[in-house]
Amino acid sequence: MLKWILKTLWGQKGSVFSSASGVAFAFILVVIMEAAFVGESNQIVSYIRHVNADVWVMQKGVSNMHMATTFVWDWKAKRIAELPGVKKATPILYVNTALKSGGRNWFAYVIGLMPNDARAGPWSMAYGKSHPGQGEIVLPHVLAKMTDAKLGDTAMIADKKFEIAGFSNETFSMANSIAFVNFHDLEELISTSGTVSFILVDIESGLDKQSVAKLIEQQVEKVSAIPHEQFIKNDFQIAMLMGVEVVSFMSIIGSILAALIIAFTAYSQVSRRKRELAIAKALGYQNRSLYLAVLMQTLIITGLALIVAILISIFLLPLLTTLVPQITLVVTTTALIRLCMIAVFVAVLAALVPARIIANIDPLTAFRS
Amino acid sequence: MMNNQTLLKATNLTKSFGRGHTEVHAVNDVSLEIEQGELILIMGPSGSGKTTLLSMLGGLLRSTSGQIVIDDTNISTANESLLPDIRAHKIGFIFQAFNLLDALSVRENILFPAQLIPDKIKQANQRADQLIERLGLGKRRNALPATLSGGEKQRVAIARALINQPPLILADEPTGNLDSQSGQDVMMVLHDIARDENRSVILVTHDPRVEDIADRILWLEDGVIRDRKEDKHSWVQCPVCHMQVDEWTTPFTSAYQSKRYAFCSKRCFERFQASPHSYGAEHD
Repeated sequence: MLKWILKTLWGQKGSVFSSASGVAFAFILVVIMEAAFVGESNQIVSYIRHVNADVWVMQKGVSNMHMATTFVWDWKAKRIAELPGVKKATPILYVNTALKSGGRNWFAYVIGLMPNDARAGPWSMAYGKSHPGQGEIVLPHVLAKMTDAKLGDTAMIADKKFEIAGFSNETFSMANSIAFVNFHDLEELISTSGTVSFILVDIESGLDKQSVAKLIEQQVEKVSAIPHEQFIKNDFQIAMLMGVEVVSFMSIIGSILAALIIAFTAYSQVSRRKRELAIAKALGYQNRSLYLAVLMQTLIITGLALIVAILISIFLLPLLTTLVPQITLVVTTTALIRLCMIAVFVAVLAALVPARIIANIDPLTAFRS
Repeated sequence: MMNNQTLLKATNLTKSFGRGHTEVHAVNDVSLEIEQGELILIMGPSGSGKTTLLSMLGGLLRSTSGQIVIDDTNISTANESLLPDIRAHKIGFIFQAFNLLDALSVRENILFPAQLIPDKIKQANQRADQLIERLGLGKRRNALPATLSGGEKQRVAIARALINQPPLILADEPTGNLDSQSGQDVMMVLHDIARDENRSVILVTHDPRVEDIADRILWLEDGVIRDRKEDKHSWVQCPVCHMQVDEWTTPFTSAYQSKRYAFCSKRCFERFQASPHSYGAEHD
């Protein structure tokens, strides 16, 4: 039976190839959507991950960075720095806002860095200064590539002008890029004084981050102290929650598209092969064997499409990111496993479509010449 | 080498189509018994119910009434889901149109029904090779059906019918699409199957040349098995072209004004149908 199916499919290479390509295209859409979403979500936590503070301290009740506003009295940074086990406490100002550069508005995390303290600044520079002085800004390098912005050009946040002093790597994303300015410039821009947004705490080696975070919350009133890993997790979850509906919707659309293509292929194959199926029935094959044959056929086409989709996802999508730097695509193993599960579901669903035709095939047809 | 053991017994077999005043009895109260190793011809004019009868004997069509017992299995009362299994084990089919699977080679076509009996697949492989040699297909074992001649295709179909060693072979016009030499070869193979392997062969045919090799000839007309005259032919004149035609074997017959006419060809049959009164009157 398997040989019959394989040889029949091989005999119709053209149509099988077209179907598999169509299904692979649908699968790749699913993968790209998810990869783009995961990539963007990763970018959202990119700053937290790279700055790599052991414990993050913020206003009590706040538990993440993305889209959050937090105010902590600046003296609390000094208080935390004096606690046992704390090696360094670095305050930053932070605001989620739109900045204008190259004639376009970009949504960005704007980080206000303390003068002469590079601890919370960019971790990789393309060129220029990594630490912005008064009236200066460090922007993502991708933004420069996209808008032809150069060092010395002007960028604006609200109505305040900044001179571009440097371009950093790994700080761009479609959802929110990361820009660095001087602490006092940002303080002036958001009209705050005597407060900071977050305090990045580095602890003595060998100490438990959870214990130090607990100590901070005990010793410093009205603050939340969250270990690095938990803080990343919180932000990532928020990002996922914000995009999960879009991704699910696109996955469903892609799956339906794939199912329709396979179902159409299976339907047309069965319709074309009614006579052979009637012969098989006359010779003694049961309906269930023929259902199984169609299922194997849809599984084979889906499997081919899946292999193509996975190979493209693994080898070609990284090239796409090189060609289009503003897109961050991350293909996860989980996404590929989910795609495999979708593929099996789609193949089974598609195999049901021609089931009625198979059930109605009369083996007597074999007698008609 | 018949051993006088009944393999197939059909009793009061009737198949009706339609209802009420449109009801037609394609097969009407037919009873027959076939012994192991017997080669039976079912002959009769077109539309006489031959293929309907063969389909019922093969478990492909349910009878309206009556029963069929093959090798002690009553297929008339068997559950629908059991019929494919009965066909796979007990019946080999040979079709007029060969009905080989285009994508499979000669050997794979022969082995196709063997997969229905997985525990005997190893023996089936050996048997397939034997059948290929026996039927003169040795050089064609890997050929696709599209590259075979009609006679070769029918020999492949015969091998396929034999692969599961069924006790009963049903053949529907096996020589219908073959030239005379290939047709003769195929008939001799079927003859040998009955004689040498003690299988029963039921053969529906219009071909009068094969009458000599049959053990019995059943004459089916209007769905009923009738006695056939001792004469092997009943020559009458085609009412259209006046050629001699055997009214027992020609597939082209028609009734007009309570009289039965036999035609030499489809062309004459169609001419008659278009204007029966002229030919009918002339004939009268």
